[in-house]
Amino acid sequence: MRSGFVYRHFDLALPHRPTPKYRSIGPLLPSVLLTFLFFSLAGSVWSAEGGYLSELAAEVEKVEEQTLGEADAPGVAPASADDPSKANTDASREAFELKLRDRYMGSYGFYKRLPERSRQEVFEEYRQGADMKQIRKKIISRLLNR
Amino acid sequence: MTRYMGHLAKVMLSVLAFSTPSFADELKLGQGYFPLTTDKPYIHVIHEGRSVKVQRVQDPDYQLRGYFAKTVRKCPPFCLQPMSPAPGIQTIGEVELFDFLERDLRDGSGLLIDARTPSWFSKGTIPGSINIPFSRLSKAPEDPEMIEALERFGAVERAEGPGFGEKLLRDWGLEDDPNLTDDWDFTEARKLVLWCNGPECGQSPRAIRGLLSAGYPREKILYYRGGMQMWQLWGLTTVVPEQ
Repeated sequence: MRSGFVYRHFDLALPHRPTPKYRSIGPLLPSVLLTFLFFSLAGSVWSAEGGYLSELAAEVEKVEEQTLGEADAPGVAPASADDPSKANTDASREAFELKLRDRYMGSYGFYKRLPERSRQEVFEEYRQGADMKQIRKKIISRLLNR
Repeated sequence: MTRYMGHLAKVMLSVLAFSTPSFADELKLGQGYFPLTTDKPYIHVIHEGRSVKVQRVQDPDYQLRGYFAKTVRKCPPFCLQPMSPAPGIQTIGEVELFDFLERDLRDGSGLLIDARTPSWFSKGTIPGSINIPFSRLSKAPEDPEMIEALERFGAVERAEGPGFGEKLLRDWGLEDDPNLTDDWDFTEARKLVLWCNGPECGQSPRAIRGLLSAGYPREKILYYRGGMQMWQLWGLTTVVPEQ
C-alpha cells in the first residue's frame, strides 16, 4: 500500500508514459519489419521469374513452326504431316515453296526445274488441300510430261 | 525406243524421289553431298519412337530465314550468355553433340534435354530431345518436381544419409566423391546435355544452375550453348513433336 501511494505520487512528476497498446507492439516491431522484408524480397524474386516466363511466352509467338530435313522412317509421316482434309487457301506461294524446300529437298529440286505454268498448277493443287505426298507425285509427273 | 527410255526415266525418277533412304543416300553420297563431319555423313537418332536422320540441308543456296535468323533480341532478358553457365560445366559444340547422340544417347547413358518451356518445344526441337523446362529444374532441391526429375535422370535418394565415417572423411577433405551428397547418390545418374534457344537464351543455364544446386555432379552436365539457333544455322534436322 505504501509503495502504491508512492507510485501514485511519483507518477504525477513523470512525463506521459505510452499507453499499454503502444508498449505491446514495440518489442514485436523488429519481427514485423523482418517479415515484411522477407515477403518483399520473395515477391520480387517470384515476380522476376514470372516476368521472365511472360517474356518467353510473348517471344515464342514470333516463332514459326519449322522442321528442317526429313524424317526417314519409311511409312511414318513426320509429326507435323499435313491434314489433307484442310485446304491451304490462305497459304502464300512463297510459304509453300519454303515448306517444300525445308521438308523435301529432292522434290524441291525437281520443282525448280518446272516451267512457271506448271509450278503455279502445283501450288494451286496444294491450296486446294492436296497433301505433300500428292504434291510430290504431281511434281514428278509434270517433270516427266513437260 | 524413245518410249522405252521415257518409261525408264519415270522409273528412275520415282525411285530417286521415293526410294528407301539407303538407296537415295548412296546416290547422294558422292560429289556435292554435304556431310555432318569429314567422317560422318549423317546420323540416325530415335525420337519419340521413330528413327530420324540428322543431316545438313543439302541445298547450297539454302539460307536460314525466320525467327532464328535474327541477329538481335531484347536484352534483358534475351542477353548473350557466357561460354559456361557455371564453374566446371563443359560447353560443347555440334561435333561433340553428334558423338553424344550416337554414343551416350543411344546406349541410354545420356539424355538430351530441351530445357525450354513447352510452347518453345512444340515449335520444333533437336531430334532425340526430351522436354524438361528450366522452370522445373530450377526449383528447390526438396521440391517434388525436382525430386522426380533427379530420379528420372538415374539419381537414387539416400534414405539414411551419409554415415559418420563418410562425413568425417569428407570434413577432413580425405574423401570427395562428386557422386555422393547427403541426400542423393548420383553414381548411376546419366550424363545430361542441356540446350535452349541459343547463345542469347538463359533457359538452359538456369536449368543447369538448378541441377548444380541439387547436387548433380558437374562432370555429368554438358551445355550446348549453340542451341536451336546454331543448330538451324548449320541446316541440321529438326522435328516438330507429336501434339
